[in-house]
Amino acid sequence: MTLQNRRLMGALLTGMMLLPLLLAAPAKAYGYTDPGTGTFAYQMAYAAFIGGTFYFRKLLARFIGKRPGK
Amino acid sequence: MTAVTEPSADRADGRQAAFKSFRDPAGAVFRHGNRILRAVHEESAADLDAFLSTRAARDAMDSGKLVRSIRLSPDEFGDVALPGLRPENTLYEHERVWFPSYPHEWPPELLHAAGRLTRDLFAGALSDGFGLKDATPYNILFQGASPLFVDVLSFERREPRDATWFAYAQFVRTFLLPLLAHREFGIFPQDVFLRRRDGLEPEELYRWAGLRKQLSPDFLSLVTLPYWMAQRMAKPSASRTASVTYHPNPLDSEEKARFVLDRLLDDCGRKLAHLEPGPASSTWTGYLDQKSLYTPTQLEQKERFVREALELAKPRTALDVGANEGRFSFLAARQGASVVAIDSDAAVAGKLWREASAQSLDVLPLVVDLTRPTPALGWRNRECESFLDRAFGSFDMVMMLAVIHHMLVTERVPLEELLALAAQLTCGYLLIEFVAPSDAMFMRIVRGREALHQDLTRAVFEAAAAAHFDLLKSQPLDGLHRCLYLYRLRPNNA
Repeated sequence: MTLQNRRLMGALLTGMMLLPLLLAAPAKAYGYTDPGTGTFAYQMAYAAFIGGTFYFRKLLARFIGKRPGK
Repeated sequence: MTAVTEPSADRADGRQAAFKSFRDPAGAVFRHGNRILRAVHEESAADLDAFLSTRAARDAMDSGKLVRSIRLSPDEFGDVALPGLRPENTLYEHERVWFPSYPHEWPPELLHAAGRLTRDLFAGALSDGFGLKDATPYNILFQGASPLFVDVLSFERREPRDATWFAYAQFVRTFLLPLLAHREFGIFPQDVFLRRRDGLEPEELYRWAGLRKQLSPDFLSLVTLPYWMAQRMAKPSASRTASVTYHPNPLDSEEKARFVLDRLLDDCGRKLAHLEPGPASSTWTGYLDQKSLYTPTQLEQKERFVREALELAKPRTALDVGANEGRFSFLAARQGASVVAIDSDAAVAGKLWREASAQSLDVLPLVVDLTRPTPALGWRNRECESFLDRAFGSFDMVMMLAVIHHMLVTERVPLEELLALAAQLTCGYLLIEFVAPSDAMFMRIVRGREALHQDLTRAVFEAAAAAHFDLLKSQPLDGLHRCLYLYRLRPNNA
């Protein structure tokens, strides 16, 4: 996959993750948010997503054998 | 890579008592004479010992990436009275970095190198069961052009099933967001860290970016999504299930936790590679090669004089003021000096670092304007020393080549003041280039106020210098209204 295509794929996947948030995007802040909360929450979401692919990868590896490189 | 060079002269005494670091409950760093010591609480000392003996730590110390640290035995420091040191503390000694520098003085390239080192060391430590509890550029100092991680207490034992890197947000705020802001908005580390210890918030970049940029790939993960998620959690009606918990949340499998962290670190690595500062151009880049008024002969004459001066002085440490792209800093470094090269332009400082790094030369480029040098910062203005306090007593030689006219004309610093500062900055030699008012560059920057400098002649300059220095040799540059001088500081100079 070329770099261009990989970027496109990444953008599409992110878009899919984005959609539910887009639908609920807020207009204003109402309360105090501790700095770093947003990035931390993002990391939690990212970890959950990646954690999901953990089992998926193991499954895939079982069927098509060892994937070349990362 | 380079051995630690001790400053050649003792620091002038009369400075305040050594300041102890305080943010980390596990221990505190302080200076004792010329030694850097760390007092560590008993509970944390065992973990620190364990970390320092891991394969990753030992490799990092050997390759000059992690500060060399040894645990001192009680009889090695028993007779030393250290205020604040408690009997239950364990004492470690660290290799000393001869010229500390801070993110607010770094060109973007150094911030990037520091970020890469942080990520790489964390990735290495993970394999040995250790994590990184904070990720800030203040953990790093530079030895010449090489970053060195100095805050060993940042490494802590990690719970193997923990998939969260609590310091990730800080890594983003202090490394990735400033680098992104540099690339997108031309913001420099100086603009960020002079005001703030903890970097930039996603919210700030969000506000600076228009909608199109907010939705671009780099912004989405670093800025936009975190900002939106923070906004959602700020709503009073938000259910507590969406709330953020900073308490450990172990997963069911160590392998899975490790997988998540590895992917996160890979992502950080990719982002760092993506945000690597490219060669920038400014008014001052390509100066000596293309824009200056030196003919090749004159440049050769100048280089010869500088080489001979270095041969004579043999400085172990040198400060190059207005170093530009480092042509003369490199001459000093090749002669064997550890060089600090300062310039007020971040683009040339960055270019200098690229060259120094590529050629493994001991030159540390910093973005410092000598007429408005870095102030003391931090708690009680004592956590980060001012540039001048670090500089006084540290340099065998100071070079002021093709720079004094900028200080005299643009910054209106009086000649006597300039030379008095030079006399304080150097412990030995001053290599200085006099630029006469009839010089082409001088005339370009004087902006119609020649009358202010009509008395500035070589004779006046030499008389003013004689107040502090003895002349060793001089060389007028043929065809230019410039003259090079090598001076020696008079020994009983106040």
